[in-house]
Amino acid sequence: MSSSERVLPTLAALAILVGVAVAVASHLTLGFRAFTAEDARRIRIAAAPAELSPLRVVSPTGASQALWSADPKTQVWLVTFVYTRCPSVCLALGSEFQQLQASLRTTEGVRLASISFDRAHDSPAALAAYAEHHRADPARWLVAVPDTDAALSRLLREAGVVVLDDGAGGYAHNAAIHVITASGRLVALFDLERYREALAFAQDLAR
Amino acid sequence: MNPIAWLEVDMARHMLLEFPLLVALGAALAHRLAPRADAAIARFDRYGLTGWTFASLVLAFWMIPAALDAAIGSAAVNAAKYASLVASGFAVRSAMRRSPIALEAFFVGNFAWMAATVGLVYQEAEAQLCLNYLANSQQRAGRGLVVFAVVALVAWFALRARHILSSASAGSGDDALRSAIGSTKS
Repeated sequence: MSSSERVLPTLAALAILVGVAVAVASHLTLGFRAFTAEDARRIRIAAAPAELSPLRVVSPTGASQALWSADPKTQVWLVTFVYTRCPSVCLALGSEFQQLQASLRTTEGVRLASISFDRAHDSPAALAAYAEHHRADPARWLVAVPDTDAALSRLLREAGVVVLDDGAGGYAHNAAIHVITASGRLVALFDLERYREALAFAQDLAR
Repeated sequence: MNPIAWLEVDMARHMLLEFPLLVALGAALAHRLAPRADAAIARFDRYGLTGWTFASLVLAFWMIPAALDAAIGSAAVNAAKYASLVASGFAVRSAMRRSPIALEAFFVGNFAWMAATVGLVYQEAEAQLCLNYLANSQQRAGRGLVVFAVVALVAWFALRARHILSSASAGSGDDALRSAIGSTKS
C-alpha cells in the first residue's frame, strides 16, 4: 500500500468532520451571523415574528387590563422590560422613553409600555412611583406588571427575555425595545439607544 | 444545588472546570483503550490528524457564547456538549499515540492562541455576551481562559519535553509525509 493510500481514510474522515462542524456551527450562529444568543433572537424575530399569548397586567391604579388588543387606539406597542428599583440602565431607558413619549404627542396608534418582571416588589404603588418619576402619561405610556407569575414567565419565555439575579439585590436582563402589534406579534427588537428607529418602525406599522 | 448545576451556574466554572474535567475523562478512557480498538481508530487517524482536528473544532465551538446559552437552555444540547467534550479528550489522547511533535505543536499552539483571544474578547466586551451569565462571571471566564491558554501550552511542553528535545536528532525517514512534517517519535 502506498503512503497516499494509507492517508485516504484519514482524509475522508477529516472531510466529513469539517463538513459536520461547519454545518453545526452555521446552524447555531444562523449562518455565522450571530455569535450570541441575543443577536440570534433579534435575527430570528426579524425573519419570523414571535406570537405572544394574551395576558392581563396590573397598572399603577391597581386596575387590570388585557394586552395586547384591549385598547382599540393602539395598533403597535413599544415595550421594554423593567424593574422599578433598577438604578442604572433602566434610568437611562426612562429618559429615552420620555423622549419617545414627547414624540408620540403627534402620533396615533403607537403606545409605550414598561412591563415589570419583578412581581415580588413592583406593587401598584411602586409602579405609580416609577411612572411619576419618569412623568409617564398613562394615555401614551403604560407602566404595568403581569397579574400572575405564570403570565410573567410565559411572556418572558415567548419573547426570549432572560432575567438574572445579579447577586446585589437587582437584576440583569437582555434589554431591548420590543415592537409588538395589537395581535400580540413581536415583530422587531431595537437596542435602547436606537429608540428613534424603533419609533419610526412602529409608526410605519401603525399607518 | 447539585454539583453539575453548581459548575454550570457560573461561566468561569462551566468553561474552566467542567470542560477540562470532561476532556480529562475522555483522555482517561482512551488511555485504557484495547490495542485492537486503537488500531481500528488509527486507520482513520493517521498522524493523529483527525483526533487533533476533532478536538480543536469541539473546543472552538463551545467557546461561542451562543453555544453556552444553547447548552443551558436545552438538555439535549447539554448532553451533546458532555459527549463531544469527552470525545475530544478521547480523540486527543488516542491521537497522541501517533502524532508527530510538529503536528501537536501546531494544534496546541492554535488552541492556546484561540483560547487567549476568546478570553480577551470576553474581557473586552462591554455587554453581557451570554443571556445566562452576568458580566462579572464573563470577566472571570475571560481572565481564566487566558491563564488556561498559557497553562495548556506549558503542560504540553512538559509532557512532551523528551520528544521535543530528541526530535532534532531524530528522523528515520521511512515515510514521505512524516519526514515532510519533520519529526518522529515512534
